[in-house]
Amino acid sequence: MSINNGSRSAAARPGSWRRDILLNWKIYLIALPIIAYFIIFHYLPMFGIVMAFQDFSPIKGFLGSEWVGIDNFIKFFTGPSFLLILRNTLVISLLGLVIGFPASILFAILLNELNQLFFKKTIQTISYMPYFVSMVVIAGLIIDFCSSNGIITNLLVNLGMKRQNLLQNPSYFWTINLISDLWQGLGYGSIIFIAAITNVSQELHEAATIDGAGRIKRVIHVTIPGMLPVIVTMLILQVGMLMSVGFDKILLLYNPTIYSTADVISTHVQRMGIVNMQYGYSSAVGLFNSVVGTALLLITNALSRKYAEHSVF
Amino acid sequence: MKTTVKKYLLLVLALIVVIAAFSGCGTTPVTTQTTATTTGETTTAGPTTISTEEQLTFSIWLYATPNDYYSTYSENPIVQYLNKKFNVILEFQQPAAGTEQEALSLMMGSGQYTDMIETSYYTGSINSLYQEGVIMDLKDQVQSSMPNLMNLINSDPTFKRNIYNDDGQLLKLLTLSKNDQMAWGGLVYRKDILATMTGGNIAFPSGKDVPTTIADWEYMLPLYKTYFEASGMAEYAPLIIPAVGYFATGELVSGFGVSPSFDVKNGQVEFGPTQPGFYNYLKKMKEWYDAGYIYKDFASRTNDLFYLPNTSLTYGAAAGIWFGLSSQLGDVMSMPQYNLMVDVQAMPSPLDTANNITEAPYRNSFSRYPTTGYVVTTKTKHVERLLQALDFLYAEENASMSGIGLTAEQVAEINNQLYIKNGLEAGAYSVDAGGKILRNALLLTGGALASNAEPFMNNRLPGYRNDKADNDNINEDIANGDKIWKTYDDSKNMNLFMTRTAAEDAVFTEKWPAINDYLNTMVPGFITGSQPLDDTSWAAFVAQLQAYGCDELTQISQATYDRYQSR
Repeated sequence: MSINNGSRSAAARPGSWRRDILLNWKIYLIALPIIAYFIIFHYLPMFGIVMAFQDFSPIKGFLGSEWVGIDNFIKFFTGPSFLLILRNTLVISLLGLVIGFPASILFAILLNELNQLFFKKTIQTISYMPYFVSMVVIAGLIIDFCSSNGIITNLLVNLGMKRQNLLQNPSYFWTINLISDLWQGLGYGSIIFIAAITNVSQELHEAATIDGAGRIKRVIHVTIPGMLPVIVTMLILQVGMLMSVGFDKILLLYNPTIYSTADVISTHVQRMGIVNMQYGYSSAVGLFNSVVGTALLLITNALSRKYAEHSVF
Repeated sequence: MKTTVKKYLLLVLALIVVIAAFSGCGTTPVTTQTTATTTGETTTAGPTTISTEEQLTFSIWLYATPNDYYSTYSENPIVQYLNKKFNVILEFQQPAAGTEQEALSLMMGSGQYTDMIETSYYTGSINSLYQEGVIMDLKDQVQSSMPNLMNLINSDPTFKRNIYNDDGQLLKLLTLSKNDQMAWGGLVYRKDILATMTGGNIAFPSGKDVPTTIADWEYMLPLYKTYFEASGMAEYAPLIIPAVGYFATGELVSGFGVSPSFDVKNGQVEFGPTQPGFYNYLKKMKEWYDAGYIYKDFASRTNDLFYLPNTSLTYGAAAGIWFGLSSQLGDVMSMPQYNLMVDVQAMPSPLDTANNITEAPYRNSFSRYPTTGYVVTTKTKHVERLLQALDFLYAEENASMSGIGLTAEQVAEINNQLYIKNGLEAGAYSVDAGGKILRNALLLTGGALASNAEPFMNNRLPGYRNDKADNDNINEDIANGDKIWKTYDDSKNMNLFMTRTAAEDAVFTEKWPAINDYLNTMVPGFITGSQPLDDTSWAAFVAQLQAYGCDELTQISQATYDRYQSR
């Protein structure tokens, strides 16, 4: 008896999950490490949320640390950094969402329209490559290129800009971050959309061509509607991660002179929690971040279900 | 058949993954081992007899000590010597360089402490650690297990004053010395460039041989700029300052009559960044930055150590003034292969004589009373064995191990391969008929201690330090540097023996991060011009620091200072 047969027979009798486990115990066993991983690294640490409501002391532990209620949250909301880091987090994320997300879709469509296979494959490979370069290397390159004698600075100086270190001027950080994000993630981000395009029926394209539709009209009326479920799914996931900007990259790039535009919630948590050992406070900030992220995910999913008739769950 | 084989292969793979996933779980290794009984030695030095029959392992957290010879301090020859002599294993846990503070915070947060922790990177209160039960009061243990340390404490009232806290507890093991340390670093300048630019007629406005005033610096800086520009260097720096815009140890800013943190004037603690002298410092730095005298990219160099600012510029002969090391003094940075002879000389902080400043005492302290040390955690078992081993380094006759290294006999005793493989079978030093300590020539460069000599000695574990070797082996440049960097008496500085209570520490921990963040953001901003600097913005800056609570922290610092004075 094969595994699949067993599975089907179990499925035929609702409620017989014990029987299903018995029949497919090898599959369940294979799944066990993944389940264990999620329990150990994603669910058990959730007990740490209690730190957000404590003046947490590692030696006293969860049970012995002083309970301070919502004091840590009040400290964060009334603190000098709250509005600044919230603004920076949202702006950097929204720039990625508004510009970076459509750019990947556009790039996928453009690639799909290429007929010369060798050229298409070459462009794809070149565009994927930066994604696999270590973030430390990427940050090193950006810092070097943006220094007062860097290649990008020299280019801009030739265009009339005053010579300066671009990463010491708060006005430029969002742009530098966005452009480097696009450079690193555009190609890799487009993979899922290219896959979605390949699933669009060729017959629809042929029918549209017969009806007199040109390339642009076929993209608008055939390709994009065909990609829509994937676009909506990805959009919902992106919105859910709106509060989680690229922490490692910002940490590697920023310096105190540009905190006003570069300091985000995650770097603030790192400085307060890890460097200054304010565990309770940084847990409160982290919890706030997660709650807002989850709320955004649920709202976007609901709106998408209502208006676009697609949703993740 | 094939399907069955696949099934069982999958089953085995799944089991391996499950086992591997849980392999990291469980308790940390027990620190006490009972496997070997090598020496069976018993000490008779202390009031109580401590058996060394059982081999014990002690874990020690220490910051990174990168060198060319070994990756962990566990391999240090003096550590190896203690291991052998006292039948222990001192096992060091060291983070990667640059990640010390994060690594220490993570360890403190996890509650998985090592037996002993070096506290240089700990920013909180040691008293709080004791009150929370993380570390132990070693007062009684030291009395019974560390006779050599007790002798030192009883021989010097200042040792006693520093080693016990306000409540009479002994929480930290310190390195002790009866002499001031040799100054290992301070402000330096390239004298060869000045000579080149003036045809050998260097004439500082102060009339002195060494630059000592702001006017002297303003004589030097344009010369450096002209020199570097004329040599066609794409990247150069007449002056390098740290990313936060000031030297945290006080050099340079001290010349304006303030420190970058809390300092003492006539018994009164003040917060330097709110004082007029700090405003004068900012105005001068901005003026110099705008004139191209300060390294343009200084604010983005957040990963540089304050005493190793942009090494590519300093070692690339493209810097005029920086915070240098004693090992850089003289002509050691010359590059004869490029026909480049470099002359690096020491100088004190320049006095802002225009504002009647006559001394610059807030500098890196080279006092004989060091401010860092080790705490022993409450999880440590058999603490008497750990203290017994460390006490060996507090004996006057063993002091040469710290700062010099092993003798030929000691090398042979433990058959130390590091010494042997590097041609040091004769030990790190010998003593001549006149009692003068002579370092092994292999550890010297140009008459001074070689930069790669440190791995052969103990500069990290606490103990009694013999500075005689430094004085007996010093070259003229370093002796001169030592004198110049100690131009101003630093005894009025706040020191870390002034300890905060747990309540005071709670306030400090809450308020200091915002003040520190604000300072680190605004000071480089003022200097680079991204923040306007005028009377209005200065007043707003001071008001903001006060709003963050700097006055309250000043009061706390005053209380700690007063308690220390009355110890």
